[in-house]
Amino acid sequence: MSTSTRSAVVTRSIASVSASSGWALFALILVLWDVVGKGDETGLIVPFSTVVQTLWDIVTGPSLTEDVLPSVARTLAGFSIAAVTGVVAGVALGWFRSLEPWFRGVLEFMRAVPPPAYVPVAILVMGADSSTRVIVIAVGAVWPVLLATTDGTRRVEIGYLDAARVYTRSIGAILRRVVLPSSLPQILAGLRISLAISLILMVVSEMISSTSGLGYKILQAQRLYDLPTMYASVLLLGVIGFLLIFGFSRIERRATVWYEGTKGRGHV
Amino acid sequence: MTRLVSAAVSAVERDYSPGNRAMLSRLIGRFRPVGGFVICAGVYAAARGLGLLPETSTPSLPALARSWIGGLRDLTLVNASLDTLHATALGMLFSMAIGVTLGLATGLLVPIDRLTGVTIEFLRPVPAVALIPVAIVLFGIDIAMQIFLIATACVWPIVIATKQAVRSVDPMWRDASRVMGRSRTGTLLRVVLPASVPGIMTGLRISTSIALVVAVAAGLLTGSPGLGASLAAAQQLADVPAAFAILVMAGALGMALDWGLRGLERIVSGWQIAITEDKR
Repeated sequence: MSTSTRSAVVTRSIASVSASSGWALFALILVLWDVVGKGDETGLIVPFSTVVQTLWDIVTGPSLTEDVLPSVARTLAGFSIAAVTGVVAGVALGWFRSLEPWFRGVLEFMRAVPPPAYVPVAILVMGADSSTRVIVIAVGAVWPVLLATTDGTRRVEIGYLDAARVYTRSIGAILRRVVLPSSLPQILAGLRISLAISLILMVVSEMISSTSGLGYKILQAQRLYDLPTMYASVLLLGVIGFLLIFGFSRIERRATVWYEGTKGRGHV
Repeated sequence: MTRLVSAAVSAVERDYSPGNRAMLSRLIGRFRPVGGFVICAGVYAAARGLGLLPETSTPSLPALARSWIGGLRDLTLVNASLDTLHATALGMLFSMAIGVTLGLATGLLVPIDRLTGVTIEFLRPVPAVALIPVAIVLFGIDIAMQIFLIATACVWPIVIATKQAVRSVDPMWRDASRVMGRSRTGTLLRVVLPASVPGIMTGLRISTSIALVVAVAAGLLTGSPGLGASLAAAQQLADVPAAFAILVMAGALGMALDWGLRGLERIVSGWQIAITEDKR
């Protein structure tokens, strides 16, 4: 009894030590970055503390409302358009099964185009303003959701549909109450990829013929050789990406608890 | 030509008897993907004709085709694609070497996983294109810069895929190998590693599409050689058909890479498909 308790305590303390060692390594890398940066005479490596200071200035200064927030807003707007379009079109394509073989090839092709390639083409077609950037984010990000939703809709268990048809004849209700919920895990997996693409496209679209935004700020800082601002903006972008994806994972996990349950994985 | 068409028509008429209906529908089935492209091209041309799309800044289909074929003939498109492929291949090579090693280490050894977990989770979501200016400062605009960016962007999916693949190797296989007298290293090399190849291949496929994204973005923004640089040039010259032709070329390249990797996947992980899907 006592030995097993002691070994449990030992195991737990080893576990907690190595869990915190991850943070320790992370901190060590940051400290190393700072030290190397301070010792560096070429000015190429900016110390971490300077970068954080610059980052703080950006977040508290006028740049927050001029560059940072508009960038985030454009990302979310483009992503939302992509999400809605992708889910609606994907459900339609998955529901009307005979359509899918016709358009599968086209969709796979559109997805195979590296999304940044859409940016200059969109600027040529629609001009270089803010709405073009939102549209380009939507155009680049829509394919993963669309394909994932199509697959999800096609794979809804036939038993669910039969059971639903016993109760209602309304296709709208079946789509809303059965098809959408049961393809949610696939849809969310697609949305996750779309979110990552949205972030990439936000940066790329703001680096081309642009006058504002985080991407513009990064490129401008590089051209002026203002390295602290450049590193700080890259770091800020990393933090924004991290927060968006982290937030999305939380929503995803909450929305698919039932699915993990059916697969015999734990309730989180 | 007309003889050929009339022969085809009469063949279809002959085949469209009840007995041959299945064959006809198979024939249609074979051409459905092409039909999808034809329909989309038709919709595009109609939208352009009706003025829904601006005529001056979208190319007509013949102009697009001319520009694309011209680019293939004078090798500008081919060379740009080869430059992009070159950077992608080398970048993938680096990220495979680092990613598989790191994935094996974190998958097999829990302390290493704990040690590196936080750092990896922080580095992973940084969009690689944000590092382009950093890469310019460090590497200039050579192809080395693209390789660096591709390697940093693609290493994470490979690490994660390798780690998960190693962890999901059936413990029974490992035990069996040990019981039959293989050493730890032998088990690792002859059992665990081959068994995780399918998982690693999935990671490779995911990161190849990311590699293409990064290569194009880097070329677009810096003029580093490849499809991205050609696209930037076309934009600056306002050469609309060329820009669309490069877009089509980029899509074709993406699809070709994906097909190639799927083929490779069938070859190296066919055994897994055989043991899981044949049982269904």
